[in-house]
Amino acid sequence: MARGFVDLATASEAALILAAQARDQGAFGELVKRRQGWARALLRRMCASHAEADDLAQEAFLRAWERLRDLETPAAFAGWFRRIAVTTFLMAKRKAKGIHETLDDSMPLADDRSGPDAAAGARIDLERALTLLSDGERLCVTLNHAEGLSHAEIVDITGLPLGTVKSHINRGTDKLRRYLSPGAHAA
Amino acid sequence: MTEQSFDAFEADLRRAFAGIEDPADDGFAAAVSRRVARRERGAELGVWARAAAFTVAGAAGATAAFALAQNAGPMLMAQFGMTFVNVQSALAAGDWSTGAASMVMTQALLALGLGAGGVAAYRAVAD
Repeated sequence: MARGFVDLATASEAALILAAQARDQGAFGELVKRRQGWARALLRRMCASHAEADDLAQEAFLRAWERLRDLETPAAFAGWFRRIAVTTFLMAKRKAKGIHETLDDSMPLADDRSGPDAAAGARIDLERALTLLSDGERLCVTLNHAEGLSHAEIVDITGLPLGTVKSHINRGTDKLRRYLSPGAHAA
Repeated sequence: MTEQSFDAFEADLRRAFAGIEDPADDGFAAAVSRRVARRERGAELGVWARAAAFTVAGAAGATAAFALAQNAGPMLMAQFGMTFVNVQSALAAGDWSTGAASMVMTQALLALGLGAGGVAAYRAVAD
């Protein structure tokens, strides 16, 4: 789709994607603007730090720009980008230390919760609780509970064995339950 | 903990995930756009650099081929001429011997090998 026929502000996401596939940087910029919140939130749940998540989100968008022509239909953008984001995360973690490492299940739960009681408390609690998980657990728990992916879909997107995915989800969910359940840190 | 409370917790967890607000733009999209533009400029420069390198390499190759042809050309031409005459006379005499056949095959394979090597080298450089 030629530039000039796409009003960026009002264009549909599909139109932006088609224009970006024709190497329209403006259309891609608008697409990033609309999708950045979702993409960064996804990576922030996977990463321990927001700064790292935002760096990886930038990297994921750059990869998306380079591979946009591989996207067969604009409707598949969300799933396609999620795969790129997960791959970017996995590559960064493997470069750093290796996500396939044995998980340390004896990791202590933090006990410095400052008694949040407002509505924002739940959000802060969850974000804090997520930092207690290992990289693999956080990744699988996020994809399962936040993105709604099935175990098989997580296997497909991450390349991790099914047993590992199940184990990450179970352990991760259990750690969150222990941390988030009422009275867990009352003392 | 019962199975029901497990399910309830997972439902709560899903709601909690959904409740996490997406971060505001705060210049993120602009930063990505800048990096995309920089990368595109780099890629464009790369194309020009590759074209220039091919031009220089082509000119150098042509110069070398010309120099080689000047020195070895007459000798090569004579050799090809000899080969042609030999093959032709063998054919005319109805004596399609193994020698003549192998001579033709050698030349053909040589030409084919040169062609394939050239294509492979071109693709390797282009990649």
